[in-house]
Amino acid sequence: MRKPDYPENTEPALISSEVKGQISGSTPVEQSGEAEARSGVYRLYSHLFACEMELEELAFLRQSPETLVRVTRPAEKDQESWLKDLRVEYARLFLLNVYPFESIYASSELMLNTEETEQVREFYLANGFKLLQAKGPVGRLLPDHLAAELYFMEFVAKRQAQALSEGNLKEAFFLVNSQSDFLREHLLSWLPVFALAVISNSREDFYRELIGEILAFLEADLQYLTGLLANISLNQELFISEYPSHFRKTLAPQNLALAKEAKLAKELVDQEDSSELGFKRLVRRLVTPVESGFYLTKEDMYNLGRTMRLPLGVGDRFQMLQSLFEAAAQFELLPALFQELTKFTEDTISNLKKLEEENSSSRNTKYLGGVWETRLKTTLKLFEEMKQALVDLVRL
Amino acid sequence: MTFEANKAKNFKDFLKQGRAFLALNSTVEAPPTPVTRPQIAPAVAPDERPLQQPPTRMPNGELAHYPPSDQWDDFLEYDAKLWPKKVPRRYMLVPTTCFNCESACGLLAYIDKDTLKVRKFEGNPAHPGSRGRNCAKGPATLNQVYDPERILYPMKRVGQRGSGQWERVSWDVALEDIAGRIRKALVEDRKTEVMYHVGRPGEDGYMERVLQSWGIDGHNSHTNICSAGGRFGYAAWMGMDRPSPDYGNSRFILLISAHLESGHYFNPHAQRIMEGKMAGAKIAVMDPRLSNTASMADYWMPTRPGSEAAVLLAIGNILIQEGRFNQEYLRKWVNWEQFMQEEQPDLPPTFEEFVKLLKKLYAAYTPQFAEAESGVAADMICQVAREIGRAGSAFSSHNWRAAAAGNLGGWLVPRALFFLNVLTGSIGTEGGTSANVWNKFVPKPFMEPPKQKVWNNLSWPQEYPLAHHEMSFLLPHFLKEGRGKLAMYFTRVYNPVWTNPDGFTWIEALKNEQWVECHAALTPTWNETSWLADYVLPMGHGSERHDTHSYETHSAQWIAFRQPVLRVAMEKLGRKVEDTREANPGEVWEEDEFWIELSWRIDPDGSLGVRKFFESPYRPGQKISMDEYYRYIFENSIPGLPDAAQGEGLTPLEYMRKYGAFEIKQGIRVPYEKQLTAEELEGSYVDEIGVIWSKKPRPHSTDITPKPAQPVGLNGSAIGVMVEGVAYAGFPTPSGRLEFFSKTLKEWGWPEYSLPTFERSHVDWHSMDKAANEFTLIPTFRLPTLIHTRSGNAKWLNEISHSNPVWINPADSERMKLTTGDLVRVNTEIGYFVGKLWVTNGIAPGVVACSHHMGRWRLTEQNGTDRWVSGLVDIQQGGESKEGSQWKLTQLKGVEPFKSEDPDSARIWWTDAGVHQNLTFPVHPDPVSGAHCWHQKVVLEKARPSDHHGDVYVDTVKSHQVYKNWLALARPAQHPSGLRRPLWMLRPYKPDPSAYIRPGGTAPAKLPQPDKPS
Repeated sequence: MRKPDYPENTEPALISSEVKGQISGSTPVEQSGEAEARSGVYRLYSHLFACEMELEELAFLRQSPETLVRVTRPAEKDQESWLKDLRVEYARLFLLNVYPFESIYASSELMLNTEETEQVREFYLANGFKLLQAKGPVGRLLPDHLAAELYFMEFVAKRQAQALSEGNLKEAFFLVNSQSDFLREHLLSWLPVFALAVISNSREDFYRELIGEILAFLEADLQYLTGLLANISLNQELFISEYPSHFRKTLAPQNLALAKEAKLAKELVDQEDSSELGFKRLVRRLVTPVESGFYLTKEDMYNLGRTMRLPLGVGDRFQMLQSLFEAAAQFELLPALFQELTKFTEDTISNLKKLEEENSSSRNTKYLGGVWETRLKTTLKLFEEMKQALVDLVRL
Repeated sequence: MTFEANKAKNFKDFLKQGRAFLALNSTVEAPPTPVTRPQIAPAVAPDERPLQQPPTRMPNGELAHYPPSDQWDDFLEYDAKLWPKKVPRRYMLVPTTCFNCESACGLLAYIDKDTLKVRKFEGNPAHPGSRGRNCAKGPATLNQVYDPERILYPMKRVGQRGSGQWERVSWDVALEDIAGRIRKALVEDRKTEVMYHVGRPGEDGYMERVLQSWGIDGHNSHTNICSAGGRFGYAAWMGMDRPSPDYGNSRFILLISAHLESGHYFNPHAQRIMEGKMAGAKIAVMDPRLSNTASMADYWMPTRPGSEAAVLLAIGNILIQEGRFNQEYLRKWVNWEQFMQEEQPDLPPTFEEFVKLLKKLYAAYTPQFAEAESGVAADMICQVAREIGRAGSAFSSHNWRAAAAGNLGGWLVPRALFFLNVLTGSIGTEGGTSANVWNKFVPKPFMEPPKQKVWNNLSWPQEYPLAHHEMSFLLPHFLKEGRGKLAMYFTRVYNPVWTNPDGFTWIEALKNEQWVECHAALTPTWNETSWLADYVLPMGHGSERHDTHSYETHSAQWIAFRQPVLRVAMEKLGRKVEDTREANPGEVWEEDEFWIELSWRIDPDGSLGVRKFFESPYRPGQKISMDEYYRYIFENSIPGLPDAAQGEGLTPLEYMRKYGAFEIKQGIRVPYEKQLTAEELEGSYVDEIGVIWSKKPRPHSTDITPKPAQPVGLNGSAIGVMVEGVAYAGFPTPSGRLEFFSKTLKEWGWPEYSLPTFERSHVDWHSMDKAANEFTLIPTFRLPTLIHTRSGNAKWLNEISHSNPVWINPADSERMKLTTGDLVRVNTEIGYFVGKLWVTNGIAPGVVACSHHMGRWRLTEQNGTDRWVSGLVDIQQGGESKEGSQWKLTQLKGVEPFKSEDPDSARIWWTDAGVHQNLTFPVHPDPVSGAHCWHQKVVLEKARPSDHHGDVYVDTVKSHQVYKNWLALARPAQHPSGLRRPLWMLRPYKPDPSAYIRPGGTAPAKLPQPDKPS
């Protein structure tokens, strides 16, 4: 590795400026305060997702004038029964339907503990973070659980704050870099589709609102971090050369993201070549978020069956959708099923648009809307083709 | 569902929220302190190539079931123990075969190339029998290899035998002493005083060659506490003494055992039974116990112990009366003509008359009769019979131990069972039942010693001329009676004190230095018997030794190669290894090399004619090496192997070292229907019952699988049989056909059993007094994840199974006011044991059952039988004098955690050491087959206040008396030929015919010539 060859007195400073309408402090101390505050935001969200809600958290959300999540107690409920409702809702959503793990949404394997999980773990290790050391429920989660990923952000933001307050600007730069990488490569790569599934499956407003808010914050935070990085008046090359090797293997997150997409594309091609044929292949495609653009939960499928008055047992997602197709074929309801799926897709697209509106800046990044919207639209087209094929079939 | 988006939020608002939450919450917990990243030191690979990331999928995108064989020398895989980290490891994969039961399934040792340690054992996909799939016992080989309790050095007794004091000696000291004793015995012509007593041989042909090269008749086995009844039943039909069903193609499968979970070749057989079932076969299981197998059956027939033959004959009767049997097959292949001539000379000798007679003979075996005997509903018997009739030639059946090993007359069960195969013509057919030898191949070694000219009366006493085989479990009684002594006694993978009935009599015999002058135990681990040895010689486990073997797992012939995997790996990595001890832990050796070394020391100058058999065929006068011994076999004796090896650019030995197995032939069907060629028939002679004899030398064969054979007589040797004018290969019986009528049984003292028949057992329910709490005890069943005494050092297996309660039906327990967990005293003829009850509907009323697998013991805190499995006991003999016949074993404590190199030993959570029951069983030799009849008539009583779980009490005077009572049932050989045993019958390590002449018997006019190997 090359030795840093810039003189001591030319050490970089993180220069303050308004970043695209956002703020950042002008001095390291101010920036340290911001980092501290950001760590607080992550801590709050991590707490809310790590397990069912506790009374203190609910109290905070209700009473603090600073909270953004709209939480209004239904008139007919007392605090305790409302808390119970929220806890039941948490279990229904995140333990039974919309599993909050990156691996489910970011890979075609549809399993926990895939290579994606491993990458997250490696990311943690590279940044000196050991999830197992975390106290409380977070410590027992898989590394790619939403709460764990948020907790990691809190951890790095906190270290950044500390580095800044000690005047260690280089360290702070690395940490900012890590945070923005992590948002890009991990949290924001899967949160949109997850959020859409939460939105369509929520019965209480609370989690629907919360996930919207989190998404908005992550978007804004990425903007903020990018701004910080952009304002470093330093020869980045030099900086890169000194970047501690244990932080990241490469400093080019764009390349990583591209590599990831290429890998995914290859996986999908491999699946096309797999032994699953015909409608099983279609079913596989529809239950795979990186292909279909949406996440069909068990409850979604159950509801589809109910709507169409088709019998449907609860099994794994693939089996459920397969049974649904089989039942629909048996009752000659395939066109109707495609119609229902089309409606589901359209609703999802409309929700996605609303999410985007929430934070106008997000249009600038493809991490939110772009990829998922393209996938959803491809799926819509597929349904159109299937419907047409069915019509042609009947005509024959 | 859609939602209303929030209003756009300012980043500042988020920060405010964060600060507010921190203010509330910052004291609750701090994020973890940063950790320094662990330094993962790169593993230093010998070849210094960087470790790549192992591929997680095959090139075609699928997950591979097994590592492709072209990568076995250098295979990369993530270390499963480091999950979730992905740390690649570099392995060499070396095949061997499992030694944890008799099936010899294939294993692949994963040897870490950096540390040269075996990290795991998985299935070997190249093995034709097990096809890469193993039961729990296979992978547990790892436990045995790295067991902290294992014996690493040769040990010699100091102090009294059994006192538990040992000193470490060198192999040289042990070898010199043992070789000297054997040499002396050979020189002084005491050739029956050297005995090699083996439990699980796990090899084919090697020991036969060793012992015959010494000229002794010294082989003894465990067979008669195991399969003698099964063997004799089959041998009476076809000479060959074990079945080899083609389950996979079968339409109906009848099992008299728990064959899916245990039993001979259970893993390879279970695979094929399930394949048969998946293809539509139905399964019937006869077992008083609802075994895992019975639970998978279409028909569970909980026969009362000993009534199995009645049910089988009832099924036969239905087939006969309803005309559901294969008349053509019977006409062709059953010796009905001989039967009519010998037994019914007054009737016209026609097949029609025979069928009429058959109907009459079995008419009494009605389903109702069978129901009354067995408790199995007549309806079910009829259904099963009709299913068997429908299955026809695709009917497969199996009996090995179970009923055949439990009952007086147990051999009548396989005799009746195989009758059904005869009736359906399903012998050697697709989906039928073959003889083992058709699906087995024992390759000829490079030089065969002549057959011994002595007869060992300690193993083959005159009382049991038809025994299948050695009367091994009577040995201590024979020694007590002064029938002989042993100058040198080897026990090898054999633990008679624990495994055999009447263990205290064994202890008495083994302690006596006049009867057993020197006892060497060849064993990988301590056991109850090795405690009574003079030398304990540590031998390798399944991955630490050479053997070849071949078993009848399915309709094919294969051969597998067991090898010391670390030695093979070291040699492949370029290290020279002189003998297997260099690769094994401590000074653990392997038997093959031990016997070579011992034979050289017995006959150092070659004057006894022993040494020459252990000289290299490639380097005259030099000691043969393992490579040379097996190279010769693989190059010369296994058809097809040299070609297959050449196809891969390997020598035959390299091929076997790489793959560990080779399939010689597949789909062997009805070999007895092979027609003899004109050339074969040239100059032959047909005798009055149709057997074809020829004086021409037999064609060369490299398959030396022991087969029954007519002795070479005046007319030469029997080569086939004339059936309806056509010359066929036929069966290796005196009549050349399937022997419905056994002239051998008639002539050798048992005319009443010459036809398949049924006899009530010694534990027949009619003789049980319910009011006196008399029960039949079934002590024979295996626990699927244990293997007799050999699994004591496998921690995983002991964690799975570590209890052997006494099974009892609720009807019985309620009557006796007992419940699960209650202690009971189970009284046998000679003593009692104290067990724990388990109340279950899985056992028939009137029967109790207890697996023999538990109840291992050790006498001192630290040493002896592995602490993973054994209880600490105190054994007291005969009150004050310490020499009486009354023995009391008291369990002081069960299994408990202990400190060792293996941290798991401190984590032992189970406490039960079980109870040992075999000690309380007297010997029950079946007078015909010689089998020990395991089932016991017992009296159950609630444990007395002084009783503890695991206690055992026995009086050996009583046990000797029971031995005498049973001995009186035997009918000693009085055959006019003056022979000890029918010459045609199988006998392990068959001696020269001259040894068959009975003392005092008149030799036949002309003694048959030795059956010379060609």
